Amino acid sequence: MTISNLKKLVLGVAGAAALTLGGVQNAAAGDWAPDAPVNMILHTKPGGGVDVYSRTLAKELEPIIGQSIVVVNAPGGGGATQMAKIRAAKPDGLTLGVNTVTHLTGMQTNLRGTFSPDDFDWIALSQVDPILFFVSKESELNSITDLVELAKANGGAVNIAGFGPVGSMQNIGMAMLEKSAGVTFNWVAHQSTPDIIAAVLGGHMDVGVANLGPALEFFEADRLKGLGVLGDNRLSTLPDMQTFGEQGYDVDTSWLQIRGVFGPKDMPEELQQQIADAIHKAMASESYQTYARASGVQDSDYGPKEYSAFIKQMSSVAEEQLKAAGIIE
Amino acid sequence: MFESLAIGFSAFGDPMVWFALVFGALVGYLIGAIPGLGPSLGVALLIPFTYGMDPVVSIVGLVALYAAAEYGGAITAILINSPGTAAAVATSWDGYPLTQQGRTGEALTVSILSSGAGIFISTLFLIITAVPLSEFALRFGPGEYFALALVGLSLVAGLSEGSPLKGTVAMGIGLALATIGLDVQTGVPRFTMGNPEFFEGLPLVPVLLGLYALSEVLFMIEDGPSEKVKSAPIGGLLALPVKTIFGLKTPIIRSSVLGYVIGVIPGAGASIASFVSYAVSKRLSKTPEKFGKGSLEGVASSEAANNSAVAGAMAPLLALGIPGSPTTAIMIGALMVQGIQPGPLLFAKSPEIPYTIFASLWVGVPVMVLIGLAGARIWAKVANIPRPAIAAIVAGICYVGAYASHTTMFPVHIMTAFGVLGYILRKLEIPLAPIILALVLGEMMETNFRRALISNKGEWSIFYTSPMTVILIAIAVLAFVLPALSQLRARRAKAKTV
Amino acid sequence: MEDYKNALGWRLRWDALRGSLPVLDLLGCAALLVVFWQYFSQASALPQPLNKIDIGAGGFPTLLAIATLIAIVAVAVAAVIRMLDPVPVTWVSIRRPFYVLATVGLLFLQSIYFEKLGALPSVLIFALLTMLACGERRPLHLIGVPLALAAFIYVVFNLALDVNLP
Repeated sequence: MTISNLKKLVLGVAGAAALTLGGVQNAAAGDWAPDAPVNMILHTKPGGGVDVYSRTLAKELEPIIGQSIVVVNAPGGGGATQMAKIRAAKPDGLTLGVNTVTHLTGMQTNLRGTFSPDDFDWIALSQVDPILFFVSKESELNSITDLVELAKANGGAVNIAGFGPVGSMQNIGMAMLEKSAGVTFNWVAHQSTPDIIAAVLGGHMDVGVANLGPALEFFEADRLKGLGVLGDNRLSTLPDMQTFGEQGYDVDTSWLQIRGVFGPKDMPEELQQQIADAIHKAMASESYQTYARASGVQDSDYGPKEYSAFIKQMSSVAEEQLKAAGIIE
Repeated sequence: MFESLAIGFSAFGDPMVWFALVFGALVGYLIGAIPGLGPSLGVALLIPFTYGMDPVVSIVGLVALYAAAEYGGAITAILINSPGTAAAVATSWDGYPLTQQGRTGEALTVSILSSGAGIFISTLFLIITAVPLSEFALRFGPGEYFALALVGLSLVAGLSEGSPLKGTVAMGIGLALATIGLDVQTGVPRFTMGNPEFFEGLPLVPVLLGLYALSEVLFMIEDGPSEKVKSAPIGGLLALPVKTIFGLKTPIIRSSVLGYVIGVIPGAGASIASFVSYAVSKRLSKTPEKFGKGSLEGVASSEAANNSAVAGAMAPLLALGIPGSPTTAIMIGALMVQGIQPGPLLFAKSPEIPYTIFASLWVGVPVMVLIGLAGARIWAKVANIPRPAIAAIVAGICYVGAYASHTTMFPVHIMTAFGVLGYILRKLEIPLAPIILALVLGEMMETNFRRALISNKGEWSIFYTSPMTVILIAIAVLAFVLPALSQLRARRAKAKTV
Repeated sequence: MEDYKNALGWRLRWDALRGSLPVLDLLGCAALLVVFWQYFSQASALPQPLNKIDIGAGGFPTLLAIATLIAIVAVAVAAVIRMLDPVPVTWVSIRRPFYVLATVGLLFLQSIYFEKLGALPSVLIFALLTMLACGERRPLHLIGVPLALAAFIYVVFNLALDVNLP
């Protein structure tokens, strides 16, 4: 789980754009030194994963930039409240936001026409987090292949519990597997990962989808079994669980949960680079590393160029998948 | 287990831990009493302060804050008929009539004592049963959750004052309001009038503030500056003879156990707990006719139950890492910042955390009760502030509180609209409690109803093949039908005498 | 002022409004019927789900709308029965309707101008006006209470809880 590992992982799919632009990263000179407190706007309520991430990062960023960072929770509208605040802000680096894949799928579905990736500058990618499929210890399923066989045998009546409605990040991940294996599953939407784990442990759902962090303890306690991870490489903490690709299912392995920082459009390129550098410097701190390892995420060092290319790539994957699923025209 | 409990109590050798406990309890008490700020917002606002602290110190502070804030919702319910949380709605049914009779001090004393007793008793159960009961709660699938939501709703519709038909309409209004927003399963926007601000549904706190607190302001305007019934001064340490309190032991113990058990089920939480306990107490009481008109039993039942649910919500969090309430979900974030991942291995890996929580719940009880008893004196005087000033203060704090809940104007607009709506509904004698509870439970009801059908190939058999679902649905039907029948009978009897 | 709780008969005066509950019930039912009919038609227009097993986004709201419409009609029928009944009906009154209406106006104004004026100035202004509407005329109270309230809000929300108020 190293940075170079990840780079390899994403470069494979983000394509030549990221590869050629990768070297530009350290060209910018000078450090980010804002002249007023920085507002970091979130699309979630206090206490969730995004909130913990932002506040941990903000605490480490403050001494680096010599200004305080005000974390503002602006939940509502599936990110619309937050994005409206950011779009309206001056591109001076004093108003930033944290984004996830939800922002990108939202721009393709409910917020289509209201917001688009071109409305913003994508400054730095900070975390990537592959999704994995799991079952309870008592389940007869042991691999993705077993799952596909079961779905073939009973006409798709396999319940998969995941986060978000049809068209959400995890649902698209499932749809990719469906397409590659030529089967259908039954998506059952849940609103939090603990709910999903509880439903799988209680035997109410056949398979659950989650990122590693919230599920990790259950693997260690031998309550859950992993079926497969949607990524290029196996997870270092769960080395026995094979990737989808290893089991013969060809899916787009750039489809990862992400956390990054974005801002209003037309920020000076130099400023964006400075902000990205400061963020990646803060991520190297001990307390951030402790937090990040405990939450099972992987670090990324993408600056503005690579991140913008990555966002473009993810948006087109999302659009393609949503079209294929018949969710958008 | 006793050794581990000793570890938990040993944390209290550190003066910082005591400081965290008292500070958390005081802040929670205040936050709970301010309209618009509840336990979950309180915990969320305090989390940034805990970053630099020792894990044990911060968790003690947060637990004390959670318990005290859950109690604090009762203060405004009793004082101005404006429950600060959905779980305090049942408290207002008897608490506010007591205030109108000048018995504010009594009501507050009973509420804090039963809250304290509730936490004490439920913590005992928590220590013994956290693991087995949480494992049992896992057996609640979508069918069971749907049936449980149904129980909560039919209890409230059956309990509310006035016509059961109007209670049903109120429930319909609440459920309809709960469907606003993005559909959980398909992601389609519903009834949002094209405005993305409605995507995540109506925020509960502003609706609660509007329906209860702002509509109460309009009622105060009606009353004008006329004289109020003065609240009786509180004599002695307690406002009540010990005998009166001792007489309430049965409903308190019963409600504490009920509140705990219901609190363990993730998602059910304090509001169902308080309604169920209130209903059971009313049914078993020797004086059921006093309920809703200023019964101390009613206040005790609701408050013992909603505070026991705090301990209940801790059970799945500590035993499995699955939060039992929105507030415990936020506490997971706080623990993770400290490098502690709640999960099935918590007891094995870091036993000091759960046992410190148990200890601080217990040690917190006397602290909280002392704060509450002292506070009762102050609040009893607040009840005597002239009406125009109270109206202005309530309205002002509501606006700031609603804004603070999301730091946008959207909740403020929602609150204002519901303030006027609440006033009209109350004039038409349409009960508000079913609207609030339906709004709280509506999503749980619909999503689990659909999850049940989707995960069962669309067949309805899931609702009558699981024994637990069948029992719960039967309770729901009885809870609705029995009060309606007895009301009908009472009306017939009355018609005969006229 | 007369004893409003036991007063009977229709009244439409500036100092008191009064009407019989069953008649008001019918008015309320009419309004709710319109609202829930709208709700029903919007619910049935929601798209069908891709998964054929699901009842869809509109399924639950449609069922709910039908059930609620039936309940509303039942309330209306009960109101009519009540009017025909020889037992005296309940009367609903609104006292000081002018001031109630003025306060409703104040609430809406506050919700429009809260952000533009800033939290503390709007609390000061509207607390004063609300007290006036509630009949307070003592100048010391009228000045003291809003100031104390604004100070309390500043200390609790800005200083202690660190909330960003406008």
